[in-house]
Amino acid sequence: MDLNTLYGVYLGISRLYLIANSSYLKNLQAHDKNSLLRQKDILDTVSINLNAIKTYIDSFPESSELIEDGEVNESINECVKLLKIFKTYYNER
Amino acid sequence: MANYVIEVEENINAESFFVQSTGDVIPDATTIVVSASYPDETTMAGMYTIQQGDDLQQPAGITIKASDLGFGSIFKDGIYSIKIKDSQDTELVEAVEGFIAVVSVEVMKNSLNYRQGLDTSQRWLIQEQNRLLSNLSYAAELGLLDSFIENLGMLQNLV
Repeated sequence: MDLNTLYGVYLGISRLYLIANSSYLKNLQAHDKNSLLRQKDILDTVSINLNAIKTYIDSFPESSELIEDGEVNESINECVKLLKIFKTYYNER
Repeated sequence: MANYVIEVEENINAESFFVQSTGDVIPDATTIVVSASYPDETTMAGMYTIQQGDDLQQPAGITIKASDLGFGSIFKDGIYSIKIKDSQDTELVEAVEGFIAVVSVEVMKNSLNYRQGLDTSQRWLIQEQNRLLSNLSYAAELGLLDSFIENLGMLQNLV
């Protein structure tokens, strides 16, 4: 994936993350504790992966010599998968 | 009065840093003196003599390798003072920077592999690494060197 494409994907995931986070904040009063913990777990996981992807982008192209493309792609896929789960089960309706 | 300003950026591979003058042109810049302090309380120092053909002024700049200074193959994480001196050994301008490429790459690698399925201790570890990395940013922005070194030392223990 070239840098421009990767940055576009990063921005897209960041936007979806913020939408999910907004739902989580609104869910705080309405959902039970276990549901909120599952939601926060998703958000924390996406946030940590996103931070790492941003570090990779900020230090590109040198970072591409230190990290394999596959690792970044897997991280992106994990974020997308989790945000889909969040959207399916927890997004504010 | 002249306004000399230099900006320093470490390469993520820790093998070099880039230094550039972004203020007034620095006349008679002759040497770049680098000294470093590390969390284990050791220090290092080295000097780079500016070569004919080197251009410190923006938009150019000089890339200095760790090996140019006798620091080994990489710049260990720590606090670095970079001073520009003239031929009379007078200090013209100084920048103090935190170099954290080594731990940053480790945290990046670990974070790209952070998954819900990891066990609790692994997840805590990566979360803590990210928190300490954020602390380094706060300390750097505030110029709190003691806090920077304290958090860096702890982070080095965790990666």
